[in-house]
Amino acid sequence: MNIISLLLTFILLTNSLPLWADNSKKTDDLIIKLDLLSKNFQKNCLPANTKNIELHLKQYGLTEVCWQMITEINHLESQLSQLHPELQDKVNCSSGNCANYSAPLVNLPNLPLTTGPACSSATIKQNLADCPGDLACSLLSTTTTIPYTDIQLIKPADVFPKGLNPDRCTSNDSCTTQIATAFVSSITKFFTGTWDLLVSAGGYAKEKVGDFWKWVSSAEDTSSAAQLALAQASEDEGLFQMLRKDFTGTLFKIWQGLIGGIKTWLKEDIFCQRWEGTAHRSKCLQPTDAFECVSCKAMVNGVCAIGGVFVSEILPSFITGGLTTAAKHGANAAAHFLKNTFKISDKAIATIKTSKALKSSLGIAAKIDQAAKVGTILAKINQYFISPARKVAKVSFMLLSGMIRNSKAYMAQTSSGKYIVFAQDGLKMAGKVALYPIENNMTILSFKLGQRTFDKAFKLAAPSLANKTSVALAVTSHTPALDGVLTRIEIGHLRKTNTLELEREQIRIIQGKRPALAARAFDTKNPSFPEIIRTVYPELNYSDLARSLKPEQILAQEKDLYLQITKIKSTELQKSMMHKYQKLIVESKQRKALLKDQPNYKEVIDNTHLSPITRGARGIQITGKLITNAQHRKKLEEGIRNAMNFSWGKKESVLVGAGFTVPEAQKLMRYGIVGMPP
Amino acid sequence: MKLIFSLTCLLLSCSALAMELKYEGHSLFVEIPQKWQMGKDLFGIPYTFFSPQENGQRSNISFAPTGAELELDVAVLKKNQKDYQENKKKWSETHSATLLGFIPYQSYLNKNDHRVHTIGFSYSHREKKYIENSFYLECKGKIIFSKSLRLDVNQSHQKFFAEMINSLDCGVI
Repeated sequence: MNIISLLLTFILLTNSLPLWADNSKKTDDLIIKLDLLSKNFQKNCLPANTKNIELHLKQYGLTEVCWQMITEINHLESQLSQLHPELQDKVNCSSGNCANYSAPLVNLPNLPLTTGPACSSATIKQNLADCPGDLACSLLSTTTTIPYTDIQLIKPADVFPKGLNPDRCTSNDSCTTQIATAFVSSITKFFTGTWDLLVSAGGYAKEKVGDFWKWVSSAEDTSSAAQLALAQASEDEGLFQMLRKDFTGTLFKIWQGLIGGIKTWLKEDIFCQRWEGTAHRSKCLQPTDAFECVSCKAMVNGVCAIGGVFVSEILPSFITGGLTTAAKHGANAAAHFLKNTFKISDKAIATIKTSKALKSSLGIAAKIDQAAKVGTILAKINQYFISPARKVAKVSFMLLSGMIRNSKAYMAQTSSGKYIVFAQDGLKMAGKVALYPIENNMTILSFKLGQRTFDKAFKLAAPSLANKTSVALAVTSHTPALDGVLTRIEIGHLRKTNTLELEREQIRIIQGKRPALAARAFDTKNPSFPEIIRTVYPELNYSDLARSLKPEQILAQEKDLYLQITKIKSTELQKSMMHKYQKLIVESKQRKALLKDQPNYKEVIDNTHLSPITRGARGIQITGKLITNAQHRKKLEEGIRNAMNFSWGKKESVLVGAGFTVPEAQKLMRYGIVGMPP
Repeated sequence: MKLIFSLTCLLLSCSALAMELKYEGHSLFVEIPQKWQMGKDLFGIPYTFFSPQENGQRSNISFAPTGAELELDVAVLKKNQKDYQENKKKWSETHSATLLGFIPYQSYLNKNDHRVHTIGFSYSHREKKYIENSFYLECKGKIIFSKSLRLDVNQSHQKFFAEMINSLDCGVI
């Protein structure tokens, strides 16, 4: 995550482009950042095998860094749409304006075409021979890259035609992969995912579903097209049964037909040199010969350059206009396509005709000048908008928008950082989590520059602790004032800040209530000993609070806790708690460092119950006195046993008379070796 | 995605088979007319059923759980049906179809007491006239989608569509 933070910082710092930079440079910079951010979001913010992004977000929320990334993507896309106004409808999804994730249209400057074939007949022949392999390889490249938002992956064996060797394929450039992916996804998952808007509206009040018909428009569009295509296919029984029984198996034939059809369409329609009547509405009298030299591989690359139109217009019209013909005739489908198989808008026709990137990709441009670079940059916009990473980021953003609208959002502070999370039910966060209700939900998605951290962007209400223990619930229900301070202390721990003053406040609140609080805590089911220390005896953590107190104040709490444990009715629980008392308090290194030579109450009690012989030996052990001979030992042990018979005020002189020093005598008295201290 | 299909013939009459359609943890029950064929996951649609060919084409009807938890308001859907109509105008332009008319929004309870919201339109495409009906069914608080499509001349298939929607019930939703 540190690397992502650095990346994000770099992007935020370099976000303000100099005024002198032209639009191309700005566009290029924005696309580079968007590409980086979306890929990082996909890689680091969601587990690779996530099938249900919404469920994941509900259970685990989103880290602050990922939140920054996703909002930054939105912010950068807004900037991009300012440079290219035609993108605006595609970018602003938070309000539900974009019903699908189709790509934008980007207008590019015109470029003259080469007239006549610029290659030999041998090249043309070779292109034709290579075509099935080229197309199969481009399709194969998609089988491992379909984004995980799609539920089912297609196996290579399902789409690769028999007789062609997949090992011949070299790695395709990302754009080719994405175009072929868009095709596979459009055909096999045409209908899947069209309910996103409707699902994100889930929970709306009945009378507030006024946009219902808009929310279902994407599903309506795709199902109408798909069912019309299926009805058309049913006219030919053989074709119908092929589609019905082996839908994915027909993909390659459809792909061949589609690319071949587009080639013919570009040659005889879009780039027609002379028309009989109205352009694009009448017969083409002079097709562009230059297409004869275009290989199928270059053709796929060329389609990539007009990726926006391909996804948003060519593919949908192809579903009802040519899919069944392509499935039936494969490579020879182009001859069977109708005039309106690729019916697209006038705006899209203009986009394709002027696409410098398309012409340069196809190798049919007469000259490539400086302006060609502009075309290449703009073509990258299309690549970005149809990339799987962008889709994942945008789907996540859309889902977050819906969740923010429909459920309460919280900023969760955990030991591993901050998260944005939603309704507490179903939240799967381990350990201590402090939840801050976010009060300004509606502005969550509109981050402004300089307000990209949760603390600055959100108006946070008083926090509460998630995953409260039974002990914490018991003590705070008895003393509600304790809840707020315990929460603030935990948040302090999570944020690694000093909590001394808060712990002093805690002591003031529990003053005089500890026996009752301890009794309640021990009365809970499986009480946690560390939780009892945290909530009722914070001094016994032997941290800053204990260091600020006098030793006798700490000892008094040790004694109090010991006495409370002895009052536990369940023998088993009492034994278990006493064992933990021994483990956590008696053996604590922090305590030893803080309370040198100070016995804890249990030790004192245990010592008062020793037998006379053991008492003498234990006393000598505690003082660490050096014994010179057996007679010396005997004298000292007898002195200890003798001191038991005297009043507390005279014990010290008895011990000194037996051979102990004054400090040694006082230590023996403190440890209960010569009777219970007053 | 694991698509499981199970067929349970609960009621074997001369006209229909009661089928349980399972899809990603959801399940629906529909009575399917005999001789109708099933297609699974075509274009990503979980289930599509096809009539026998008549007048050169098979009518079809799709079924899909949407996953949306929503309660619909009859008055609001009726009032805003122009949104549906606008969308169909755009669709017709994109797909070289000619819009012929709209079937107004209606709402009723099917025989299992689930509320059905239906709307439709008619269009011509490549010189053939089609009737399309969309059905949004409220079942246990969730929305189930279904769409029927037939040639205008295949009027006889309409009653099968109506019977299927009428029989629709939800299992695990």
